[in-house]
Amino acid sequence: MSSRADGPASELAGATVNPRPGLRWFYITISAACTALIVNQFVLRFFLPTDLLAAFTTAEIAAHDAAAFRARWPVFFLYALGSTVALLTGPQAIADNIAGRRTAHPVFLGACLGSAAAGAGIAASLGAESLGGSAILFYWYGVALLWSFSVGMVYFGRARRSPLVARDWTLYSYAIAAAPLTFYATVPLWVAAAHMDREAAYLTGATIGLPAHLLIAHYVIVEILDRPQRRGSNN
Amino acid sequence: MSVAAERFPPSRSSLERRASIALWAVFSAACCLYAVAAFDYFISFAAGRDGLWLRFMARLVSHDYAYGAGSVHVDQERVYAEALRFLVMHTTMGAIALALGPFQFIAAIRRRVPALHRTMGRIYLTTVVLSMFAGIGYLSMTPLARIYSGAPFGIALWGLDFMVLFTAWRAYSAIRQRDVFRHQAWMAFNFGLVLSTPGLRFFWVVFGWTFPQLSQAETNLGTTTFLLPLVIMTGLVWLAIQRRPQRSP
Repeated sequence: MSSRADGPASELAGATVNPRPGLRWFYITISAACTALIVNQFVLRFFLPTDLLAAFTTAEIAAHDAAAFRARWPVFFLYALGSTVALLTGPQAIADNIAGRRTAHPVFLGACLGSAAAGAGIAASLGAESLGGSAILFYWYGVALLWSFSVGMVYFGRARRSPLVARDWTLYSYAIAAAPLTFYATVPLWVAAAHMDREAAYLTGATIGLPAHLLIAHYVIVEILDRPQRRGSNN
Repeated sequence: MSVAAERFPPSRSSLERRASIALWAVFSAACCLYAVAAFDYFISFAAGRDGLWLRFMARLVSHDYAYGAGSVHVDQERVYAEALRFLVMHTTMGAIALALGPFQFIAAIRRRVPALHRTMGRIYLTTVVLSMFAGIGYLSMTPLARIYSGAPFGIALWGLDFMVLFTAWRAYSAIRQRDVFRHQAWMAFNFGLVLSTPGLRFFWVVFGWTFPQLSQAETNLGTTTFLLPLVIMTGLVWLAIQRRPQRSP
């Protein structure tokens, strides 16, 4: 058990040095799947006939997406690049934070910020043309602000020499980076199971994916990572 | 020792402490005021008169925005009438939880009068669970297409109800095991979710001002896309600040 006087290093030494070994593979699997989906949906499908969600896309929507990509390909590339880097460096950033290593992980945090900005850039350039209409613009801008805020909280934790706060918000930042996984997995589900049109399914996937990811991240923090620390603690 | 001194370490500047107290006082007062409007909403609806919230929004934004085409008042009148018994329960119980919630996060109350904290906590959890079950009752009898702003908002409401119930269960389970840290962590998440109701109305007003070309249904759908992560993070920020004295030297 750590006490307040022990300081952050001993807090982590006594609390979270030895997380579940499977957790790292859990994050690596999520990163790999999510990276494949993002690269496919934001870049690859416009060059090669490899659309993983082709079965749920009409020819009209595919043509609309291709036209949008051709007109604004730099922001699409930037978003895919930022997200890919964030997803690939995220598991290491989480592992280091869990182990209490004082590594800054500027690449992960910078990639999160870059991807958030590129997402807002996509929204700004598409405007109401975007699938999901004007409502989806609120999503892109909202996510950009919340993701940037989440990265800011990592630095807040570091500045206040509170490694557990930095660790928690690294996990939340990663959870936001991985949101497209749930989004792309659930859009076909809403279309097939709830008989929604693609526009409604797109909005639903965007709305429900992020809170679910934050809930899972919170569960991992509270129920898995912090469990050893709480033994014997009374507040 | 004052509430502020107990909540925050002495190393914090006096200005920072005062700002935090002022912010929390404003937040608690806003929750209580909104709770009154929420409690009144469907009681007024059942009585056939305009509720406090409707009159307030009409004054703040415009009469057309609150009562015109695309407003929840016009769009959902029939649906609300059909599901009134569930909705009265949902909003009255939710209002009680919302009014009690902010006081549960005050460290001085928890430490000085733990019996009061426990009693209020039982009432909070009971009302929040009843409110969510009533919400599920309303959602069960209303097809997604008839819910305000359609299926995306309907699915978000389903998700919200289940997340509130799940986090309430985790928080209750934790405190039964006398695990205070886990209890607080789940309650922060839970109350963050409960804040989605006043949060949604807040953005109806803000976007009503900033995007006058959009109807209330459109601002509702737009807000829904980012509201849940926003309110969840509000709870998580409280947790980060609250934990700081324990987590840093």
